[in-house]
Order: sequence, then C-alpha cells, then structure tokens
Amino acid sequence: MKKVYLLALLLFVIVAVGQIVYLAQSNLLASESVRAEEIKSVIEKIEEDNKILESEILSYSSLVVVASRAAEVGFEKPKEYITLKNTNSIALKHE
Amino acid sequence: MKYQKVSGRIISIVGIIFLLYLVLVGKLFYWQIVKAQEIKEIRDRQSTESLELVPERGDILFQDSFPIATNNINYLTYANPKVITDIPLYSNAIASILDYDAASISARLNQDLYWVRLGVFDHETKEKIEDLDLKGIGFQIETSRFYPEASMAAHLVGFVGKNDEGENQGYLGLEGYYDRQLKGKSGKLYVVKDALGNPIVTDVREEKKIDGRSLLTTIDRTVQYIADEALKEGIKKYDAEGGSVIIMESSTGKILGMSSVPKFDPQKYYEYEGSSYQNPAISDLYEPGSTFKVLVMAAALNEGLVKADTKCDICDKPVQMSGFTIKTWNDEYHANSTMTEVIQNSDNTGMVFVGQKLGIGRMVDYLEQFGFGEPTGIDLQAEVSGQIRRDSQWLPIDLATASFGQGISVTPIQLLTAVNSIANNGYLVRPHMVEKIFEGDGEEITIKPENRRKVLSDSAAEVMKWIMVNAVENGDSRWVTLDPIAVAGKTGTAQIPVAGRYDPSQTIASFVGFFPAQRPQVSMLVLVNKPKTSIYGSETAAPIFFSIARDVVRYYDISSE
Repeated sequence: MKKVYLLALLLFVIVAVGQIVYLAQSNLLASESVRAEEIKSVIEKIEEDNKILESEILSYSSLVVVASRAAEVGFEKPKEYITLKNTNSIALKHE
Repeated sequence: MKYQKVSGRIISIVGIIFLLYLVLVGKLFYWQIVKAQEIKEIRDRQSTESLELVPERGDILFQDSFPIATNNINYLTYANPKVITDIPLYSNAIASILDYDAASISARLNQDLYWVRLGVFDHETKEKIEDLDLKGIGFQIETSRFYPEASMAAHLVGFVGKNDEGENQGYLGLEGYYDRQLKGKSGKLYVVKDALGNPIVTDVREEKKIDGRSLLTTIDRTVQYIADEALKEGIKKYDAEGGSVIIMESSTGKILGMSSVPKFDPQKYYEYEGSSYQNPAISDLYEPGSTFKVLVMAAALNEGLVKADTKCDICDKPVQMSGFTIKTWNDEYHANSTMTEVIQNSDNTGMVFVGQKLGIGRMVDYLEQFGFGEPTGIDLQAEVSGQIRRDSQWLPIDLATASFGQGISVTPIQLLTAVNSIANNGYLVRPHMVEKIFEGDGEEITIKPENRRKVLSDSAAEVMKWIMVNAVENGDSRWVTLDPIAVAGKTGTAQIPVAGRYDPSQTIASFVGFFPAQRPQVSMLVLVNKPKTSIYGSETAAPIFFSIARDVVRYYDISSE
C-alpha cells in the first residue's frame, strides 16, 4: 500500500516539476520574443536612418549639385586650356 | 480478503484510467492525424502571419560606381477621419506643410472612411508632419526609385512605374531592358505569434527573397555631364527644338555618354507627356543627310571602285536624273573634284558619281553590312531599326539620293555605329551600356565587347579616315578645331520631309566623327533638331561636337601621339 502512495507521490512530483519547467521555458520564450521584437524594431530604425543618410549624401554629391554650388561660389569653366607638351621646368632653384 | 477487495478496486481504477487514456489517445489520433490538415489551416489563420518580403531593386551605376538609379525611403502618409474632431484646423495645419490646398485635404477628411491617403512624402516632410502632433495620422515606409543625378541620364536609364498588377516595373532604357535582372524575386516570411501577438522566435519560416542584381554601366559620369551641359547650352544658343549626343569608345562600342533634349525627370515621369520618355538616340528615325556620304564613299573605296584621288567627271554642273535636278548644297560646282574634295565640299553630284559606280546591289549590300535595317543590339529598351528596301524596289533616283543621305531612314545609334567602323579598322561593334552585372552573392557577370563583323578592309578604313580628317580641316566646319588633336568627321544638314516634300527651313543638323584620327579612342554624333539661328550642321552641331570633344580630350588626357 505504501508503495502505491510513494508511486503516486513520485508521479505527482514528476508532473509538478515538468509543469514548472514548461512554464519557465514558455516564459523565457515569450520574453525572448518580446526582446526579439524590440531588437528588430531598432534594426529597422537604424536601417531606415542609414538609407535616408545615404540618399542625402548622394543628393549632395551629385555632379549637378556640385557644379551648381561651384558656380554659386564663383568657379567658372575655363575659356581655354594650355597644354604643356615638353617637360619644362615650372620652378627654378635660385642660386 | 480485505487485500483482495482493495486490489480489485485498484484494478478497476487502473482499468478506468486505461480506458480514459485510450479515449484520450483516440481523440488525439482523431485531431492530430485525421483532422491534422484542417487544424493546421485553422491554426495558421489564427496565429500565423504571412508577410511578403519585397526584394530590393538593383542599383544602376555609373562607371565610377555612383548610382544613376538606386532606392530611397519615402512615407505613405494617411489619416483616420473618425478620430479627427476639428477637420478645418487639421486641414490647415497639414496644408501649411504640404503643397496642397486646405480645401482639398478637408474634402478628403470629410469622407466616411477610416483610412484616407494623404500622399507619399520624403523624410523631411514626414518629420514636419510629425511635429504637428496630430491625432490619427500614420506613416508607412515605401521604397521608391531615386535618381541622384535627376534628369541627366533620363533617356538612357528609363523609369520605374506600375504595371497592370500594381507591381513595380521598369520601362524604357536600362530600367526596361534589364527589368528582370533588376527586380529580383519576392519571398515570404511566416511568423507564428502567441496570444499577445508577439512572434514565437523558434517558429519562423522563411522563403528567402532574392534582391535584384545591380548593373555597372559603361557611362562615365563626367562625360555624361559634359555632353549634357554642352547639348543643353547648344540647343538654347541655336534656338533648336531638341537634340542628341552619343559618345562611344571607338574600339569596344562602350557608350560613354548619351544625352537627349528635351528631357524628363525619371522620378516624376508621370508629370511629362508619354512622347518625352522615348530616347531619340535609339528610337527616332531620320534622314542622315551628308553624314551618310562617308559610308557610301567608304563602301566604294572598299570595293576598289574609287580611290582618294579619283576624279569626278560629272561634278561640273547639276545632275539631271529621272526628271529631277540634283544640285550641290550651295549651288557651287567643282569640275574634276577628287573623292577627297567631294567629301570636303560635301558635294551631292560627286556622291551621285560614287553611287553610280557602286550600283544598287552593292549599295543595298553595304547598307545591310553597316547595320542599317536591323537593331544595333544596344542594351536599351525600345530600339527601332527602320527598313531597307529590297534591290528590286530601288530606282536610279533612289540610288542617287541615298548616296548623299536622302530618302533613307536611320537611327542616330545606327549611324554612329556604322561610322565608328571606319575608326575601328572596318569592324562593326555592338554598342553597349552595361559592363558588369553584380549578383547578391558577390558573383559578377562581365559583358565583353563584341565585334559583329568586318565591313571594311583596313586600308579602305584608313583612307576614309584621312578623307574625313581633310573634310574637318578644309571643309565647311574648318573654323572649329581641336588642335593639336586631328579629328575625322563630317557635317550633315538633312532637310525634314514634311507631307511628301522637303522643307528647306527645317533641318536636322548633325556632326559625326572620331578622334584622335591617328589612334581613334572616342566616336561621337551630335544632332540638333530644327535649329533656327542657322540650319547648317557646320554652324550648330559642329561647335557642340568640338566643345564636348575639347572637354573629353582634357578629361581623358588624350594626346595626338
């Protein structure tokens, strides 16, 4: 009789421990899911910001914009070009 | 006795538990095996979220890897009219930021709806709207195409619009031609969620999306800018309706720059008329006029029918043929002109002499050899090719007029490719825009230049080249030079057929050539459509050609040696 009670108690303990482990695991998974969702949001936000910055850099570095800014600050297209064909000295050492 | 009684009860209880267990197993069998599929579908509907993973469209890059086309983020902005209490105040606040009329926003918000679209805006505008701190306003990220250089390369890049299914699709230019490569393949993400809607991390399934491939083009950003600016300036200066420039690497057919005016903004393509999307450089047929003479002369040289110093014995007066009188462009006649002088003077009667030597059969054969009547194969959508009539459909007058570029239709890219064969030792190349295709996994496909066929012998190409150099140095465009670089070229002034007649006041002025003549590196065609300050190619297209050539020579550090 005593054996039967012990067996029942053992079964109860196993079930109880199993249930506690199950609950703990479920809780952990749920927490991880929330955390994962948070990390995902942060990643998406950073990616979004990166993309916006990338677009801004491209806009500012386009030739059309650079040429326009250059003209605004007084740069002009040269009227003519001078090409040096020979290897002439462009500076001489003063003796 | 008592023990037997207890034992009997235990057996009964165990028996009942066993029976209940069997019932449980049976029920589980029913739900998990028999009804498994049905239950799975119900579960999926209730707890599984299926998200479409939209692939990112591939970039299109200039030669220096700066994007011609890439993607950026915009925000689809919407409002929920049900939570807005003071619609006029709300509308005025939004209208103060957007370029909208407050009344039109108010009309939208007065609808009996839960979701009203306000528009798609950039990041800056979105932040301004957010600062208003309005109730019921929301944003959804949308990826859209972005062209950092705006309309600079509009005609060669095309644009991305929506197809009948509402999906993004590339139209015209590179976006259209390489649409399948650029768009990639969408994927799906299946996420199982818990009762609170949070995803269960261990139960995520994914059909991977494949992002579109990126293209590295042969377009040099600086050359494109030079061509674009010079063309726009020229069109304005000569009061023309439009024009085109094509710049090609002589030995490979790589397109270094291609620009046409009037332009459109590929980002706001819907604000322009459909006709402005077409790239005139590959889609417009026109009569090439005198620029065509170099090809007919090259064919005759190749056949050994004439030499550079062969004299024209019909050049002393207008040529009468089939009831028509063929005159020179300035009504001046040069008896016994050599073939070099015929090209130098752009002499129509001299070309009739050459055409007659060539004959209809050989003329048609060379037209086909030079690639007329078939697409050049350039990797841009919407290339047209025109048609070449069969030998039997040609009359002697057709041969005569074709020899100086009238009565025959070509596209600008066909003409440049054909003339480029003179620069390229007689080889006809396939013009192309894309050099490399990058796959997502880091692999790359290299597209090699392709020689389609040899049309001219080395010697015929060489002689023709120097005839063209002479035409530039002593012909009607001699006032523009690229000293000390020798340019081989030819002007063209083609009258435009209007209602079966040629209108002398409306022309397509052009200049085609290549440089440096000793070792050609760059071939170029400039077309000016209906210039008003002067109708002649020598006074409109030639200055634009030399202006671009001067900058290109300096940029590439091209020398005459």
